[in-house]
Amino acid sequence: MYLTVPRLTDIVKKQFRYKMNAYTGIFSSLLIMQLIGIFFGVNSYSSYEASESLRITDATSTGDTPVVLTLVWAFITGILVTTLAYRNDAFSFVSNRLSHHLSSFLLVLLASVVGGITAVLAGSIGKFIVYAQNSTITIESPGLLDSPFSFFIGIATSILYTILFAGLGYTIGSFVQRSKLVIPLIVIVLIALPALNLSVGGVFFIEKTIAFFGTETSFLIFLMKVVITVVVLFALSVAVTNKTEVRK
Amino acid sequence: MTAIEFNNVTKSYQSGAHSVLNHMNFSIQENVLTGVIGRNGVGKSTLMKLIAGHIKVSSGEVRVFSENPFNSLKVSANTILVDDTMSFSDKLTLQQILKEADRFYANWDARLAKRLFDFFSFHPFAHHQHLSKGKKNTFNAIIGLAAHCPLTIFDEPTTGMDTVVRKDFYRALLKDYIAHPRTILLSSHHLEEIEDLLEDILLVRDGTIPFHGPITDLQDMYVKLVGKEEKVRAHVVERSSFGSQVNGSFIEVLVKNTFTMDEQARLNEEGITIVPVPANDAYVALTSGSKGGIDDVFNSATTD
Amino acid sequence: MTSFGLIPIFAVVLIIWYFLRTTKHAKRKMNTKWIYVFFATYVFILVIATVVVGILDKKTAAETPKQIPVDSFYSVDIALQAGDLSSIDSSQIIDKRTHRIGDMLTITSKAFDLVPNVYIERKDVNDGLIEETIFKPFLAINNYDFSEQMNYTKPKWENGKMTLVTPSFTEITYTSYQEAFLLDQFTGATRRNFGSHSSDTRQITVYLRVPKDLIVKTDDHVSVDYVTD
Repeated sequence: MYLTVPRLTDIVKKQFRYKMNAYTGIFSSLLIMQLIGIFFGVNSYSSYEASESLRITDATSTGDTPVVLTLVWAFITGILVTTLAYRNDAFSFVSNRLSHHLSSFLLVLLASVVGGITAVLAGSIGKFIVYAQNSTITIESPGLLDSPFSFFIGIATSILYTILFAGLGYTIGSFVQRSKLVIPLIVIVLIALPALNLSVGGVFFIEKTIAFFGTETSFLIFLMKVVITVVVLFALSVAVTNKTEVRK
Repeated sequence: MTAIEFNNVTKSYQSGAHSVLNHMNFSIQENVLTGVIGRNGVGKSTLMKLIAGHIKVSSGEVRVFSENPFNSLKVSANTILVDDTMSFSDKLTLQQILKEADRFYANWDARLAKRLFDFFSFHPFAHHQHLSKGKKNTFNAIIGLAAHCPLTIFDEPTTGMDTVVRKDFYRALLKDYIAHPRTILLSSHHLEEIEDLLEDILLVRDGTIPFHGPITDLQDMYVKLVGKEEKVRAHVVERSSFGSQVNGSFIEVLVKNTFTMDEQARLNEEGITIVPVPANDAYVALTSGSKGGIDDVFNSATTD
Repeated sequence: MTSFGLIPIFAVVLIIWYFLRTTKHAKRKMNTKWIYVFFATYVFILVIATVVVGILDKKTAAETPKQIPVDSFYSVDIALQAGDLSSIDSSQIIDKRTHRIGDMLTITSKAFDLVPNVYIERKDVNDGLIEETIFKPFLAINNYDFSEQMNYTKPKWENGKMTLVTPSFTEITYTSYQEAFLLDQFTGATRRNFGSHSSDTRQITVYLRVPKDLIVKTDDHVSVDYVTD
């Protein structure tokens, strides 16, 4: 029986297709998260003040919740595809660690792009509900026809942030697969240090990180920052798990 | 050509802990159906996972198709390991899983897969994780067979299957092997079930290989002496016996086949017949070692 | 309109319910193809909604209150304090009336809330006439001009007595939609603090030109500014 000589790109393509079919949970969970986001975004804040002759009810709806929940989803999805169950599924067919990483990461990227776009569009549903409920409404956001440039920049921003969160989740997931000891470490870095309000490297680092992306005003530089960060995160993930044993 | 080569391979799961495989050396030729035989927990699965490249050696070297299988795409594409860790996404139906397998394996025999699928009466829209253990293993075995991988590995494939299905599976394996000769490793702790199938046997015991070779060689290592009890006993007194059974005044004793021609002639004269043993008895004799069999546990208890 | 708005919410609840149901009863798992069909439908709905909302945005942009700096609301009062009626846009004027008056004007208020401001300017002559000009009320919520929606009631005049009355009740729902915070990073759009709410309001303002020597009596609730030039 002759031996097949597989090409990496070929296998990655096949695995990508397989994972598109097998990991549909990624997309259904995205759908659920965004619906919840839309739901909680509508009239998420309201206050009123009243006097004898005047009452003002201020009902604010926001596109924040679908976007924030999409980021949460991206982070969790990033972690999820690195877990044991997903890996064993992948290694039931032709795979090595690199092809597994590449196909998973491509899937996460695709899902992030879809998530990023739909997160912005999900705002439209919220907006629509607000329109349907009220005759007079003030829109404090750029619309598609109003300012298409802002609209598409918004979508691009959303995609990049989603990819960033997914990449972060993916890397954390990979580290956890390498050693469970990473979990308490992450908890310390993310929760304990800020809570203790210590002026050690940890707090400083987190604030710097947020500022690094959040205060960037040039879109192109932001794009570069995200691309470089994600490439580094991916390389790290591949490096730490390249010796992982599967189907033990 | 050599398909699999183990050079001084040691595998331990935690550093410092007792090693599952211990300085193992062997090589398996291409297109041979080899049974990997050993009791539970002797390292059969570890050995197979090393070959498939799922886990990596602690020391030594594994070569499959002259490549290190760990992280080798070539080995992965030409190898399939069927065992109970085989898992598929719960989102896929059985039919979809077969379709995916078709995409991944170049030699996939869709017709065979379909026929076996129907023969074992699977429902195309069923989900893998809802199958019973036996059904799951049957389905995995179908994938293993239909993949027609140059190296096909079955690790305890029949666990949970009922007797009829077991027999059908082994028959299917044999027929498919004859039609498409390839390197097959088949592990079981029930040698008697598969001894008719195997060409070679790779015996694993305590992380080592006490025997590797044609199954007939294993059988030739032992014989059974059948005859009057006192006459047989006289002959085996300075040989270690690996089990005996008394039937009235007759006795059967399993001993190492180290009889010279002269000795064989003398045994014949005394009315003692030399009977070849089934591979399973030889295997039991070889693996039980000097500790003796379970009978000895009771025998020594009564003499104490 | 309100009942119409419930439909999407109902749809959302229905979809969530459907998902929870399918995940609980694992036997009835949604097939791969259906998840994608479902998801594609969702994306399709989103795109449609985005376009529709885009059109609605354009339509309502004309109808919705304009954003105006708060200072401009007070320009009327500043002009009035200076007695400079002519500089005020005539659109701000609700009504101009003339009332006959004797020697004395009594101003009382039955309004305890948002009492109208009263400005009094003495004319050079004693002609026995009061020229009353009433200016619009204003209401700004988060700098948006809602003045048109304020109800008001003109003061009542009776035998030399002006009574300020409580206007009919005004209820305003300020509905706003804010784009997600993250998306504004590169668009330069600013956004008010989430949940913050500010409003400025004033009822009608009454400007009276009265005869030179008219005696004006007011009760405690009324504040009167005398314009002197």
